[in-house]
Amino acid sequence: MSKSAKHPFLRLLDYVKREKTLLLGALLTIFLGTMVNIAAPIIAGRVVDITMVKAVSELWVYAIAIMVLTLSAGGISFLREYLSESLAQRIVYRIRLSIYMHLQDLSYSFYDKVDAGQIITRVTRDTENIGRLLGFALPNIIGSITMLTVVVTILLTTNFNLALIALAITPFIALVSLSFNRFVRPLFEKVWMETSGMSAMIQETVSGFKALKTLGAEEEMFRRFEVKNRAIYNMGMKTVLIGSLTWPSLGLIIGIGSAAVYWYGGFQVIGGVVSLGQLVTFTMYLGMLIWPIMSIGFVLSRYAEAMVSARRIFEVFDTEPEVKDKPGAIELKTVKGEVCFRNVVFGYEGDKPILKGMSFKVKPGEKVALVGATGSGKSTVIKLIPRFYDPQEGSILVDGVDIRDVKISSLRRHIGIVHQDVFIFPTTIRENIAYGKPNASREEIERAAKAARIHDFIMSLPNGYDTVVGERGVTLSGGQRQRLAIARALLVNPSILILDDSTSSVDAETEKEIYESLRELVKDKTVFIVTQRLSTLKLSERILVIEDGKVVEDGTHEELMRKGGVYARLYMSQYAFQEVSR
Amino acid sequence: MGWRFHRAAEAEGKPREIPSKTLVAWLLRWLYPMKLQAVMLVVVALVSISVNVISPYVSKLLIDEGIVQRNQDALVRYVLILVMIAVGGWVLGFARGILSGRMNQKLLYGMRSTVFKHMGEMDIAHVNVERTGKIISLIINDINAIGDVTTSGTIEAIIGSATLLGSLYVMFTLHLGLSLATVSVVPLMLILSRYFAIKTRQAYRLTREKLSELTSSVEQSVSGSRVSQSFAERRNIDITHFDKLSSETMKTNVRARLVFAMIQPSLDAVRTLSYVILILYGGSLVVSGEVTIGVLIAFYGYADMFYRPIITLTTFYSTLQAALAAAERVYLFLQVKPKVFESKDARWIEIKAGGIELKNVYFDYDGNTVFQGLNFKVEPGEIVAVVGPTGAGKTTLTNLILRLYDPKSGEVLIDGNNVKDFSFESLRKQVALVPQEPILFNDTILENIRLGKPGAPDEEVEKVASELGLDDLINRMPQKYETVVSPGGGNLSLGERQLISFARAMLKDPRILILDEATSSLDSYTESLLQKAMVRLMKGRTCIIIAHRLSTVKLAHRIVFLENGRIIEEGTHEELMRKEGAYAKLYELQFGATPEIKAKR
Repeated sequence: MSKSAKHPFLRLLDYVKREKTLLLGALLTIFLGTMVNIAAPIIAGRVVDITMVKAVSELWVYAIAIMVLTLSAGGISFLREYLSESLAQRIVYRIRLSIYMHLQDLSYSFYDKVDAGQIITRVTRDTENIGRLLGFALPNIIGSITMLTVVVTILLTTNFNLALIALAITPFIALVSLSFNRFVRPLFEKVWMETSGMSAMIQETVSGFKALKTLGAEEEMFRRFEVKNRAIYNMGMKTVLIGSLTWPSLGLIIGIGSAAVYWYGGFQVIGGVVSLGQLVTFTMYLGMLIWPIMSIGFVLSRYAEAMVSARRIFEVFDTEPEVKDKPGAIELKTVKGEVCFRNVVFGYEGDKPILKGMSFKVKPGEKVALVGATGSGKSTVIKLIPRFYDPQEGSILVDGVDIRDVKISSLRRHIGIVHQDVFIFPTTIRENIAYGKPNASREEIERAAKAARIHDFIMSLPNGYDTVVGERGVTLSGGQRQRLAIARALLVNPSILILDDSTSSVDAETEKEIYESLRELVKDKTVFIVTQRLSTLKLSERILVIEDGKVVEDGTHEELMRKGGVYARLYMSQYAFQEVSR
Repeated sequence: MGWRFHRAAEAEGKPREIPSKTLVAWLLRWLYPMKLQAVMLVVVALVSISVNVISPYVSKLLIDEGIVQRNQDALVRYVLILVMIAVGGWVLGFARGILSGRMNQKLLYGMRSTVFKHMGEMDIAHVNVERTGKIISLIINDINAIGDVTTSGTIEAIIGSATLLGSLYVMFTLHLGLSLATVSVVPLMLILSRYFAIKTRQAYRLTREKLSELTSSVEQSVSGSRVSQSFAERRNIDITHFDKLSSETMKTNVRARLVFAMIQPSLDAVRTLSYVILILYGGSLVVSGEVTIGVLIAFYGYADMFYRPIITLTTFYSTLQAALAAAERVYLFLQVKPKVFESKDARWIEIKAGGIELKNVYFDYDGNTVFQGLNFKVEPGEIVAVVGPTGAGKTTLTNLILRLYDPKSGEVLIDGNNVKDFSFESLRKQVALVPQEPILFNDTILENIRLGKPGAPDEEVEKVASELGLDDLINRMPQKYETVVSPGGGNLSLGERQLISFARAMLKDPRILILDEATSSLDSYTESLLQKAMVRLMKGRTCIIIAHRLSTVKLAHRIVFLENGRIIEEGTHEELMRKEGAYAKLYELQFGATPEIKAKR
């Protein structure tokens, strides 16, 4: 992860700059609003004077003026809200979209390490925090500063000495605001961590719900949840404490400040230096000083929170995909299906290689089975073919071209892969099958479903292909999900088909039917099958036996059985055991 | 099967109007346990309001008695009083902040616990279809939205009402006509408030819904990233979809803010209207000498005191509506009662022998019939294999024994006791299921296994794992038992996860063991190792094995062939092979073409 040296706020400003019109509009309404606010007390004062001299006829003018002022203030505030919210939301939208696009490009290794809850919070809540900063807080602080400048100018020009006394409190206010910011910021960071930990936990609980229930582990899970919940509560209480100290302290400073103004100003009036009217005007404007300073403090805490969020978001942006197109990568137009591994060394963690110098060559159209013990590296081999990871050493060639020299999208377009863990999207069966080719015709979809032996089941559902399957497909049986995934891979008509233990949950009869229908469909395609069920091996022409990250045997079933090596032992162990148990 | 649940949930998910009264009453019930603090908070708030009201009066005295009358002693005295008021305000403000913050945090904490606990008690069918994103958003976003409004909002409402009534009383004692003139615009204000209240609630409901949709979409694309990356065409489609969703979210947010932004100016306009009436009517009264200028100025002040709480309450009311929209979702979630629940007199029943019997069981998934009068019996200590095609009801059978569902009619008995009489804990601690789909949690391998028996010492966990032949697997892992399983189990193969899930079940030392295709993803070598361990481990336990692989099936004393929810064949392997029925056919399919095996047979 490379860290950009640029401060997250400056990076956010880059997004703000792109919305020049909205930004200018928002600023304009902020300035107009300030002017209207400054005018209001002047008119109110005039009305009192007029009533005192009993000039009733003039009252109409001021009544209308007040109404007009109120309406225009309302109009301006409405416009300001509209413009600043639009600005904020547009930025949130842009950030969300670019983070989403970036997520799409990140490699497998990123998703291996990261937890979904954290990503979700980044895209939803963190962007919202930023939106709140830009939409509420930023216009607020600009408005406050404008207001402060105008009021301070008025105060200083009205009575310089008195103004100095009044403004003496500002450093204290700044001090309180800053220390608040200092203490609260790390807290927000921690709350964020715990909160996303909590969402990850909820997510786990939901997806592992059946397991938890059958284990009777709900209590245990609840206990763990409570630990997080308690931590969030404790941090919340700390925030409350800091907040409860900060806001009243600001009130105290201002209270003492106005007392000082009355004291000094009072003596000045008694001494005849200023008039009573001037003092009253002065205190009125002093009242207008309070809210802007308070709101700056408020904005600072929002700012702290939003910066935590911004850092998290930019952290994702700064994560470079480990597997990416190299400059000048070429488009792989057609693929015959030759796959070649040359001394491939690979491990998920750099220093722990799983594949230790793997070499083999598969001819176009060959059907190859990968066999080996759990953990031998079978699944890893096939994850390298679509370039989900790059090997640390050696190279992989498709049709004689190093796959690092071609565009990833063009490589994957020719590869169909059915993963060991089937993921079903919570949508209709049709959309699930047509996932890789959304514009597929009805016939194409049905053909793929028939080949995967799932068509009859689908037709038995009242809504057929339009039946919605539950989240993660939990409401389909394991075998049904696997068949759905096979149909999904077949639909894109790949040149290389990879089945990673894809029929483990399908009953033997159906499995046999699937392989029979596949045989016709994949006649000219290269097929890799990772399987545990030895009966399915017979469908492949060639078997690669993998042990400890290397190919140790290579040949047909008959050849390997004759050889009497690892494969023969593996094969017999399943059946030999039956003899033992009988 | 499950698609029916999904449809039911979708129907439930449609916006439903829970009366605000119900929701407010529900929220107040949450505050009830904190009533002492609430009372203290109200007292503190009322005192600080009085201090606030006194402060301008002291300023007035300071001007009149101190400055106008040129009395320096009075001036200093009132300045000191102002300082004292400021210090008092600090103390009160601190107390108010701590009290309301504490209440708020307690409320949030309690709600999160309750919702999570409730989720744990819900039916498996219900949680399956609930979108994960929705539940996450419920616990994290919605509860937060409720909290602040409920505590500080309630206090605000009480104080506002007090101020409003007080100023109203003073006004009517001062001058009836002017009072009526001041309050004349109240109906207009109330109509506007009501209108905005409805609009804001709708708008906020939409924004929350959009956010929840967005969350689901991100959740899906993160969880499904492996699939989407396998399909090159997918990137653009997903991005377009997200773009659309995200831009809708943007629009609903702007729209909600617009409704919100209209409230304050509209109410200000109405309030100004009352000032205008006061200026014109009151002004003419002053000129005609009916009232003094002092009374009129006092009325300006009181009108302000009267309308300010109304406006605050209205804006608060709108925020309250947003919170109510969130509260409605939490409330509805908590309203969903599980269909399968622990009966009142459920108790811990020790499973001694371990016999299982299903008596005339009828079961369907929302009308999708599975069993029509199934009778099925397993003797204590017997190992029974259940085989049959997909959809025969094998998994449902195990679901009923573990009481994840209840049969429509008929009984499920363990040692002659109905499973409904067992406490959930006693049933699930003594009956272990190793599921087809092993679920591991983002924790160490050790903790994942320990989940079968929370609190078990490390040695016990490691002993069980080692007996099952997990040593190889553990030694391969970078931190052995302390290796953290990545979210979704990405750093382990399916077979490895099955082994861990197996160990977890065995740690319970269950009387009854149910294997639901628990070894489907193991390679045959590992499986054979495991099976040798299983032969030992299954001794003295009642076992039900569901398997597609006949090699596993052969461990059983008896084989039951299930099809369409009915038992069509039953017997030992040899008996069934001789019968040449459905089982024999299945067996042929798997091994028929294998010359070696044929020869051996």
